[in-house]
Amino acid sequence: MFFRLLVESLRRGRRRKILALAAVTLGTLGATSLGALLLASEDAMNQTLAGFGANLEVRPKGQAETFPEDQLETLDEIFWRNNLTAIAPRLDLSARIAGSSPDLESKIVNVLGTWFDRELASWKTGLPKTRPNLPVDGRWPRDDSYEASLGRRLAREEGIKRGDRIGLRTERGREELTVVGIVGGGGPEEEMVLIPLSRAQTLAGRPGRITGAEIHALTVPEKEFEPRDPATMSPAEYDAWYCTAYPSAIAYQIDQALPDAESTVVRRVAGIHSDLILPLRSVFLGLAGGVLTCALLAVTATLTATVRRRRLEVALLSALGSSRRWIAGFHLTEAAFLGAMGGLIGGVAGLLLAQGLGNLLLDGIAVWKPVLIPFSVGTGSLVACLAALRPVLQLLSLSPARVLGGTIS
Amino acid sequence: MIGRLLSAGIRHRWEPSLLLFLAVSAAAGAAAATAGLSWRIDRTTAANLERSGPNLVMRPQLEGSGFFTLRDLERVRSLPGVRTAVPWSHTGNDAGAEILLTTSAALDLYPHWELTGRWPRDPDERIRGAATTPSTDSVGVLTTGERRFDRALLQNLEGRPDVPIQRIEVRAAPEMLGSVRSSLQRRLPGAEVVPVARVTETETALGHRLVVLLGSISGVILLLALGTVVAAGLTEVESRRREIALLQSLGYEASWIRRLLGLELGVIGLVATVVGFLAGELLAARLARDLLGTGGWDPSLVVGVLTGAATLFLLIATVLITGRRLGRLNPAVELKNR
Repeated sequence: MFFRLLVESLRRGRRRKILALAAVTLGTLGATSLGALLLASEDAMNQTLAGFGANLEVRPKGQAETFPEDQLETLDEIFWRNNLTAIAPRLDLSARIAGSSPDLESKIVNVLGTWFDRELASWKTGLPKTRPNLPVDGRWPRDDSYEASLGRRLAREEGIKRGDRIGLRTERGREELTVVGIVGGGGPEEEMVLIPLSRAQTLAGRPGRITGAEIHALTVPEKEFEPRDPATMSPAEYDAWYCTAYPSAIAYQIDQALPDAESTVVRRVAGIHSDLILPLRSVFLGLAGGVLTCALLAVTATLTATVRRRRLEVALLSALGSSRRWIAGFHLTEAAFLGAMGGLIGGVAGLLLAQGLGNLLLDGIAVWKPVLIPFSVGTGSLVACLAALRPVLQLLSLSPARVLGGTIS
Repeated sequence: MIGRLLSAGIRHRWEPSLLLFLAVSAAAGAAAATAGLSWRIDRTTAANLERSGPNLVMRPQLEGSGFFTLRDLERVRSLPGVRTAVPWSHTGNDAGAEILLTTSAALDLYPHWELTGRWPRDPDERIRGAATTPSTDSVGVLTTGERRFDRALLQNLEGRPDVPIQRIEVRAAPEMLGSVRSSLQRRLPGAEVVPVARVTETETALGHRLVVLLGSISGVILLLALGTVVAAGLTEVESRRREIALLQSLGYEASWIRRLLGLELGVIGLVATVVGFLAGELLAARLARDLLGTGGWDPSLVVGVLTGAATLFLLIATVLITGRRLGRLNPAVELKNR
């Protein structure tokens, strides 16, 4: 009986129902698309902030100078492995450079051995990923090849061009390399020679060893970068901290994975990340709250008018002996159904809108968040029920005799 | 006559009118708050980016003396658009730790570095990087998280004109980067002034991305706000079919009824938009003060006028579209059994 009446009620008065449905759809469309954009915005900003460079550094424990390169492979097993977007080991050394002119033999230069496009477990990484904004005229050396990239200033100083061959010599080894790229960017790389890690290890006489590594991880901004001692945390605090991608939590897990190394948070990078993301997040949350309020008011205005027009129906049901609870339940169920339908349509349309905006404006950063659909359906239902509650209660307070008698127009 | 009907209409139907008012003012408020916050967050982000380090690096000419002096540093600092200029000098190693000389302005250029203790005053004093061996002669410990500085010993360069400066890091106002760069090259002929790609390119990309993000969010909110206004207007007009039928049966023409409805919705919409705009701007100012640390009542007249114009236009368009349909309704059917 209840459901037959409900279906009949939904079939009739289509214009009003469509208006109410449109209002809920519109509200949830705005809320869902905004929610999807807000969720994606932090990823988008994080991705852009990666341009500042690595936010974590790994170095040998204590006063040791190096640690084994192969320990870096264990990073692919830590809890936050999917947040590690770039890793580049480093072996720093000084070497004498011999360029095209033999009289430059005595020049001592800084040499950085690293990965350029190395496969680490299931992904490829290297220096061009940890320092994505380094401009290179030419290309980066291939890993394990006899190639090098030279800093722009050093190349100018030594009169070395792309395609030239250079010799690097230390007390422990000598390597002949072809210059395949000139690196600029204004940083310390301008005065360095960048070579494959294996070549640097040969030159340094330290096969399989590195002096450190730089890592970029997608993190949640943190105000304090001090290393935290898990022993001082309560179990709940520890769980919350360990399961949040704070730089300090990821650094802690890296420390656990690398027995001979310790990691630090690069304050220059992590600090600016916090400075930028924390206020943005607060503002976005404020905006989301404002939009939800706006949607709620729009739906309330429409549904109130829709329900109030049904005073005759309510009076008739009362006169036929339906209880107030039954009538209220009936109207609220109808409103909830309309809200759920509107929420579903609005949710899907909102996700599509956000996806379109994401593809168009945010370089395809993933904004398709289906998890928002149940939220949209639930919000639509809840908002519709809340909006219908007051007018239903008002209608129930009217006398059926007066309404049906036509004394109230 | 029309004025009396208008005031009576709003008075007798105060609850639906209030709901319409709230819906429109919420829409206008959301649009104004978004615009206000977008503008403020843009300003805050620009201010925060000032903390991202140097955006220009100066190195001496290769063919010249090979270093700068403190006098050169002063000339750099006095240039308009230069916020901070920090000299760096590498003078050797001590027990494996690099000895770097700089000034306390380094802490302004890198505000996220943490110095425990104090900055060295005398030439003999120094601070040590956090990863160096603890020693009694250091007056402070510097933690940067970067190997190069955490394993270095830092001394004060201020007041030591004899020390050659190998590099000057400059933070220039981003909007003046190009002009500062050329001025520096003119002022110190031969000096190589290079933008730090890591900082300049990331800042540009961030600015662009932020504008796009806020634009997208504002677009969605504006769409929602406009939809809200249309839905509220349509509901209001739809709920007055009987009233319209009564006016028609009394002999009023459809155009007159449309004018009445338009005027009523226009008055409510105008007041609601003004109230909504002011409330949205207040909310934006409050949120900016609490969340961003910037503040001030700074309403944008352009946003207000645009919000108001869009709202009114939509309300009137709604009335015209619906009124045309209502003009065709049959008063006898609508008023039957009433």
